[in-house]
Amino acid sequence: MERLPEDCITHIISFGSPRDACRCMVLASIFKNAAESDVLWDKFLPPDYQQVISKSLCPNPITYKSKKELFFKLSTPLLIDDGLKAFSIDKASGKKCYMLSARELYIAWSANPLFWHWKPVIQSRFGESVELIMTSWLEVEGKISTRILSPNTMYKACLIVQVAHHRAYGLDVLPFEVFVEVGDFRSRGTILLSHSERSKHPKKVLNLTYDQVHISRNWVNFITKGFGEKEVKMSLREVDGVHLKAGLLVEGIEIRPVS
Amino acid sequence: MSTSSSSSKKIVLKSADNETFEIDEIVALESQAIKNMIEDECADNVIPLGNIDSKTLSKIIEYCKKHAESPKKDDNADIDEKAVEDLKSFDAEFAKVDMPLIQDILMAANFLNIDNLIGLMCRTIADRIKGKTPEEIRKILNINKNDLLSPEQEAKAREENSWAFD
Repeated sequence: MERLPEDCITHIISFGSPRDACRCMVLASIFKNAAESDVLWDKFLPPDYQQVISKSLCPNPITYKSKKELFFKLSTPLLIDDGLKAFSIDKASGKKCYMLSARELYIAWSANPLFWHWKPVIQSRFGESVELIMTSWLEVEGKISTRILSPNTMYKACLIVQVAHHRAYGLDVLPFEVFVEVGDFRSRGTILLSHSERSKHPKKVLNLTYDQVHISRNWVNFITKGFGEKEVKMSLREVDGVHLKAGLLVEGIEIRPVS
Repeated sequence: MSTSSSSSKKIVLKSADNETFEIDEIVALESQAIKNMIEDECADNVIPLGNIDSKTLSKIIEYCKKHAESPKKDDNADIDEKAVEDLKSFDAEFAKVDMPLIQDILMAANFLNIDNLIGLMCRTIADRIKGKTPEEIRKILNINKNDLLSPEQEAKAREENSWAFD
């Protein structure tokens, strides 16, 4: 194999994923060089990465010596669109991930301080999250265009919430309805939120005010294939029960590829 | 090597083991390197290919003949799908050879600058090493011991990329 030129080896590696490329680094010295080339990592970077970086909060947010370094810097979230969204690259696959902050979502009655309370949360990457003070009508909806996602990719949407364990009530009475709509495609499911998540993480209760509950496994998946440019609508609702609900802290909706 | 039509211009290729192959110019034009030689009028007589043996060269000619005969994508937007499928299954069959020959074909295709064939061979190698451990890949590709990283370098590379091995 040593006879093959480095650009052929780069070409071979480019058929795999970024994870495969990193595994090739240990094979032999020529593989290590080939797997570090700018040509390769330029292929792994999303085609519109420059446009995404230009939407960052800072004017020149990222300095890098190689495309590989840039790729890995972008695998940690970058705040864009006035800090209302976070962009990152899934380092294993090179696919684009987004997180919409609570301010980017439609949340019924969230402008009314009697029902919802906006506040900074230390663990959140965004400036503000919103905590449910009290409502019977719970409705959260986020939208994203398939244009800014990676094509031909199975994504999952995760609502990133925490349950305020001292103030939570009514959240586990009825299942929440979740919907994903992309063009004519519609999918619906239900999820059950539990107040007792905290009991599984006793240490967290001591250190943090909130327990983080990722509901990702139960949220419906969608695929960015054959839809052209369409809007993806992701929503969560519990509007059937007339009982009051409280103590849900919404950080945002994360959209990531299914691995 | 026999040829079908006698009217078209012929090109003669000579392998490292001194075997000659007479082919139609249109077949030779699949190679960007030969195309450049013809255009620069450096290809009057026999083109010697001192680094390609006859076994590899005959495989390459087989590939170029098939691809030269097939309608090109940019010629016509609506070429029939059967021709595309036919070429695909030819490529799949063509790649069913052992790894040393694949590497020889890739080296030669790289030298002759035959883009599609480079792509096909690279993809074939990529498919064969997919999901394999580094040890298995070294064996499949018959990587020379002298080309391995030193134990210290390998440990460092493994540590830097440890997430990829989880």
